[in-house]
Formats: sequence, C-alpha cells, structure tokens
Amino acid sequence: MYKLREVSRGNYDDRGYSNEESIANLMLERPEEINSILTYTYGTDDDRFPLTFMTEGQGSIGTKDISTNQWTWKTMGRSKFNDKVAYFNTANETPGRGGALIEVEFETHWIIEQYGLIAPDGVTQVRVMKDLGESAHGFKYLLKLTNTDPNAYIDPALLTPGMYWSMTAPTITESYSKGNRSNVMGPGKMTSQLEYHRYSKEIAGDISNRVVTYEFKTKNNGTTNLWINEEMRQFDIQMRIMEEERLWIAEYNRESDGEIHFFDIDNGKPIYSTSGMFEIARESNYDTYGEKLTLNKINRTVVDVLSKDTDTGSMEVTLFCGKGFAQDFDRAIREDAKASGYTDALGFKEITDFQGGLSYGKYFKRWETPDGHIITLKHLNMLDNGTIAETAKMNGFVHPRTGLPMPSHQAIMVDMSMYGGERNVRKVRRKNVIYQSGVIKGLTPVPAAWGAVPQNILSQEVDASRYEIKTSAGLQVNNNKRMFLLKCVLD
Amino acid sequence: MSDISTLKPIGGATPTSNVAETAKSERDKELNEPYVFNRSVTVKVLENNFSAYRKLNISVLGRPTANIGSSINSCKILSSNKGEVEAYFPELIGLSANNPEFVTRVKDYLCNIRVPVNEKVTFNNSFAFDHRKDYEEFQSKMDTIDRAFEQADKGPIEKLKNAIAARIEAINRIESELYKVGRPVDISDYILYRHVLLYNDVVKDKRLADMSRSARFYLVDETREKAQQVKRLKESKAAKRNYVELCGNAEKFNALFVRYCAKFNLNIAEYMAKDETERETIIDVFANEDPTTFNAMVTDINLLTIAFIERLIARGELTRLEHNQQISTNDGQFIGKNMQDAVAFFNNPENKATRQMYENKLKVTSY
Repeated sequence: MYKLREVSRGNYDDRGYSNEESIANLMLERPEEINSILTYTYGTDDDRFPLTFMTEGQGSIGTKDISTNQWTWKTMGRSKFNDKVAYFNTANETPGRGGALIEVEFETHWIIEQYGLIAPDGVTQVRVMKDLGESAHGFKYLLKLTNTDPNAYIDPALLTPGMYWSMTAPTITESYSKGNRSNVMGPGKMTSQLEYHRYSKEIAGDISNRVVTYEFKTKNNGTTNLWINEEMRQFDIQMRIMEEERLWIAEYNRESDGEIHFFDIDNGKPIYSTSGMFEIARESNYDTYGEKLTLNKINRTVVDVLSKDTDTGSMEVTLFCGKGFAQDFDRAIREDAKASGYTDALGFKEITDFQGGLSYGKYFKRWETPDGHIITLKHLNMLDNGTIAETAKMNGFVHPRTGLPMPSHQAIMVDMSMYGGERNVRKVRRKNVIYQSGVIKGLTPVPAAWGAVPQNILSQEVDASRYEIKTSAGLQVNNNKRMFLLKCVLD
Repeated sequence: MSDISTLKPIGGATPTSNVAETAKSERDKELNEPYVFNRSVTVKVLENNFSAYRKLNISVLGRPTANIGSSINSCKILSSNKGEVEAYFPELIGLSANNPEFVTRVKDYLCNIRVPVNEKVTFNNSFAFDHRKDYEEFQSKMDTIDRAFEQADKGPIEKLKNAIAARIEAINRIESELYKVGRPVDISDYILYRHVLLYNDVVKDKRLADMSRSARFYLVDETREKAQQVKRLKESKAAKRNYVELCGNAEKFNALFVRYCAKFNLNIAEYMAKDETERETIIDVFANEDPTTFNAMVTDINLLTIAFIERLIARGELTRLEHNQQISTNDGQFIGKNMQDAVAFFNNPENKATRQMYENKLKVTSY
C-alpha cells in the first residue's frame, strides 16, 4: 500500500519533475530494453509478475524474438519398444497350446520378425515367427509361445485389443539365419503462435498538468503530485497484470487444419491466441484432489511426471502455488509426521520462546520424496490475488475449509531448467512488435510520461490525445514433460 | 387384488391350489437365494475436448493420459454414510472400523484417488445381493429413477443439468444403502464407480461436455444401456403387434387416435376428418417413435372411456379447467378432479344414464 498525503492544490507546468518521467521518456525512445528493466523492477517489488520476471525479466536468455506469427521446435520422444494388440480371434480359447502358431494383429508395424515379445503379465513370452504384413486391423504377425510345456497356452485376456506387448531381443539359429530390420524414431515438430495485445489511454483537457492535493508514491520510491503520473502508473500496472495473467491463461486457437475461426468483428481479421502456461501444464499432466491433499498424492504425481524422463536422477522441483495449496501441503506433511509418531518433534519446532512468551507456528514448505526428489513451494501471488482469484472470491467460489478462493488451492510445476544452454521456458515476441508505443496528439497537452512529442504538430482534429501500446507474446516450452497442474476441485 | 397367500382352499386341498402353493414356494425360494448382479461402467476420454494445442501437436504430444482425480464433494459424500463406510473400507485400507485412525485413513483413501485413463477405463460395479428380492427391489427403484429422468424436461441445458443432478443424487442414495443387503464384487472398483458418479470431470451426458471446460471424460453405463436397449426392442416389437391389432378394430383405433390428439393438443375434429390412411400413418409414426407410450395407451383398459371423455371435452359438452385439470359439465356439475376421476364417474353403473345421454349426443357428430 502506498500512502496518500494531502499537501496542496495547483497547476504544474514543469516537465522534468521526477525520475519516473526519465524512465518514461525512454520507454518511447528505446522500448525494448526499458521494458525488461521495468519488468524486473515490478517483479522484485511486487511478486505479481513471476512468469514475466522469469522470462522477459532475465533479458535475452528468457526471450526469443521472431519474425513470423507461428514458430516451431523439434522434440525427440522416448525410445519405444512396445505396441498394442489390435485384434485376436477369440474363438481360439487356448492360443499357442501344443506349440501352435497364433495370428495376432498389432496396431502398427513397430514389431519386428525374429524378435521376442513379452506379454502384459511380464512373464509370458513368445517369438515373432513371421511378419505377415498389413492386415484388416493393423499388421498381422505369427507368434509362437516359448514355453516348453505342451499344455501351456497364452491367457486370452493378454490378447485383448488394447493390451501392450513389448519387444525383447531377436533369437536366431546358429547359422543360416536371415537378417531382420530396425526401427528408428525421428524428431517430432511442435507448433505454437504469437498473440497481440493493445492498450490505449486517452486524455482530454489539461489533465496532464493537473496537480492534486495528494502525494503519490512513484515506482522508484519518489513522490509526485501530478495526477497524470498516478493515472499512468495505474494504466501501466493494469497492463502488466493483464500481460502476466495472459501468459498463464491463454489457450491456443489455431485448428489442426491451420485455420483460425475467431475473427474481429470490425476488420474481419483472425485473432491469434497462444498457449499459456496453464494449458501447457494441463496438457502435460493434470490431476485433481479433494477434501485434503496427501503426501501419497503429491508423491505419485511428482514421481509419475519425473519417471517419464530417463536423464534425471534426483531433481529439485519447484511448485508454484497459492496459499491454499501451501496450507494443504503443510497439513499433508503434518498428518504424515504425526502418523509416524513425530508429534513431540513437531511440537518442539512449532512452539518456541519469544520475548518472554511463546510463539506458535512453523509450516512445511519443502519435502524430500522417497525417490530423493526435493519439492519446494513457491508462492504464486496471482493464484490468491490475481483477477481470477478475486472474481472467484466475489462469486463465492471458495474452499469450504480455508475460505480462500478455489484458484488458490492449486499448484503448477514449471520446469525452468536449462537444456543445452537454453532456458526451457521463454517468452516469444514478434520482432519490432515487442513493445510498440506511440502518441496520437490532438490539442490536449500530453504528459511527460508519453515521451517527447512535437508541440506544434497535431495528428487529429479532436481536442484529445491518445497513448497507444501494442505488444506481442507467446510462450515457448521446449520440454513440457516435467510439468503438471494439480488442482483442488469442489465437484 | 387378493394376495395369493390369503386364498383358502374350500373342502380340502385341490390340485389347483397345490400348483399355486408350489409356484409360490418356488418363487419365495428363488427370491431368498443370493443373487449376483453383474454390471460394469466405462469412463471414456472426451476426445472432442482435447485442446487445439494438443490437436495441432497430436503427433508429438499423443493422446493425454488423463487422471481421474479426487474432489471435495465426492470425498465428503462417500465418507458420510457411517454404515457403508464401516462395511466396505476395512477391507480397502486394512484397518477395522473401531481403529482411531479409521476415519482419517478413509478420507486419505478417497482423497488419493488417481486413476490414469488412456482411452477408457472400466469399473466392475457388480453387486452380490444376499437375496434376489433385494436385487429386484433395487432394480425397481432404479427403473423409477430412469423413468423420472426420461420424463424430465431436458431441453434447455440448465434443465438437463438439473435432471442429471437429480438422477445422480437418487442413484447415490439408493447405492449408499445397498451395504445392508449385500456386498460389491470388487469393492475398489465399486467405490471408484460411486466416485465417478459424483465427479464433475466425468460428464454423464455428452451435451454437457460442450459447455464444461472441466469435462474430460464421459460415463457409459453399459449394463444399463444394454438393458434399456433390450427394453426398447421389446416395446418396439409389442408396439408393432399392437398396431396391427389396432388397425383391425375401428372403434379402438378411433379411441386411440382421439387420445393421441388430446395428448399432443391437436384439434380432434380436424384430425378425425383426415382419411384413414393419413390417420393410420400418424399412429404408425407415433408407435415407432414412442413405443412405450403407445403400448401403454393401447393396453389401457379405460382407453374407450378416456377417448369418450376427450371427445366430449373437444365438443364442449364437458369442460376441463386449464390449471387444475378438473372436469365438469357445461352447467357446472362436478364430474371429477382429473381424468382418472372422470373415468371412474362414467364407469360407475349409477351414472349409466348420464353416460348414455352423452353417448347419444356424440352419435350425431363425426368425431
């Protein structure tokens, strides 16, 4: 909260009043660099712009400027060794008995002749005797059970369509064997797109020079009595809140055929929408929890996500969360600790001496999983005080126990690691549209914050002036596999 | 109707009464035997609700492995019935119900729900009833719920939501009392079935998926759908049979046609004036589209009387009040507070003269 202090009332006509104006002047002249500096300042001061801070606020390492609306990047998935059954004739109730060959159709041609296959039970093994090529349901193979017991057969349930079988090494005769083939996997291509934002400020009359009886705090801890500075501060912060939240909540809108069906009524042109952090995380791994969060749930979610990656040993995971999730997390560990008999140990930590009295309360913010992963919480203010959280509160969409807005009871794991020297999460911007600003000047005097504008030239007839800002934004996540969204839901 | 058990043989036992007693005894025995109701439900991933981002990058991202997670209300509801919780959960969590940790562990179990779904997952919600009679009572209650749902106004999406909510609430109420009369075949799957009924990410009607961004799955009650399919087929066959019989009986056909017109607020005089082929076609379409209602009308023993009353109302001889359905004569004489009462009035031998008078009036009209 900044202070309002009444001093005096009058007109003011000097331009170089405070250092805020100095920065503002630069905003028009060299917008790209100054934009980053401002983001950094807001990020450290206010904690309301974490994603902008972690990307744009880090300078070139956290951004990528491109010259097209869409961009692509290549990814390589994990080696695949399995395929699923597409069809098996269930009339055969004892498949493979007495060494009989059986015909099974798999979904793709991934399985190779001569290789072994292991059934979903992890025990039953067969050899691929013949690749019969394309078939009605996929690709047909002749399989033979490797079990030497003449009465043994494959449980037909293992051949139910949808069951995955995995390949094992090819076994061949000592001599005169034929060669086989090998599978290879190419990189996949991901696509995303930019979106554009525009913010306008119109003024009329002599508001630029109006001094009021209140003293406003400026961003750089200075003070000003000029009303327009306060108005521009609000304009600026509202714009930044919108920009930050948009990076989280944007939902991609280009159809798979490349079309966008979302048009502006005024000009008939498509309106692009990028994929925000919530969508990216949700599309990677998403789960919900109920009345309480348990360590088991956290562990299963984290392990499930991290075990997909073969490169990682123990990882330090940061969970961005609201206060509600932080409380749930604390309760989860507290309950587990109590169940393990650590009640006294907890009490010693929680109840401490304080200025001759007692102090009560310490909360868990970090946990090491049985697999050695370390989970640390980081508060994401937006989930408690952002526009969506505020609206949830007003609509009564609150958690029944904590009374906090439901968006507060969620956590998102964002992988901010460096891969091959590149930051995993970057803000993408359109070259030359990173932060465009300009003034449409009428007779109305413009404030210093709008930059240096020739006094004698008018660009419109109307007695008003406008300040226009256009930005571009997109979110690039190289590896989205280590991300997840865990959310408390009412129903 | 007399209860079969109250029938007393006159002058000693007769072969007929012996047969009846044997049949009753066999039925009683059958009703008291254990019965396993085999059923399953499947939760499928809603492919239409994939994001545009996934659709565009499907070759890399692939299909999502979505998780059925937990929810606050589901936890609360499923842990609120003491009897049910004490009946099922000791086996699931490995603690007896009198253990001080029992409730905490039950809540943990429900809050830990995490079922990965690639394309679909099937839960075995079969139930082993101690006695078949309990199963039949359960089925009868479920049929009542289904009927109420079928008859509910589901046009506007809000009404559809209300109808589904009412149905789910009713099913949950009945299911939550089943522990008194049996046990699930697979308790773990059964609890998950109960959970998905209450979990909003699993929609119970695909129409809701379009308006709900949280919808990720939809529920398919295979057993119930199969049973309803069989029932629909049976009704359809009966409707075809009834239709053929109806066309051979002009009086009954006309009576049914009048009821059809009254049901759909059609002008009876105008529709009765249509030629026979047109009228038969109308009823044929009706029998195909709604065989259950058609069969109920055809087999209604009061069909002729109701049609008679409807004709009198259409002719203005009787009046039906719009808001309370009361039927009275033109001069204000009360006939009945609804159609059922009016039927009773005209079927009453004491009112034979009145009926005769109205029948004579109708003879001079073409409808």
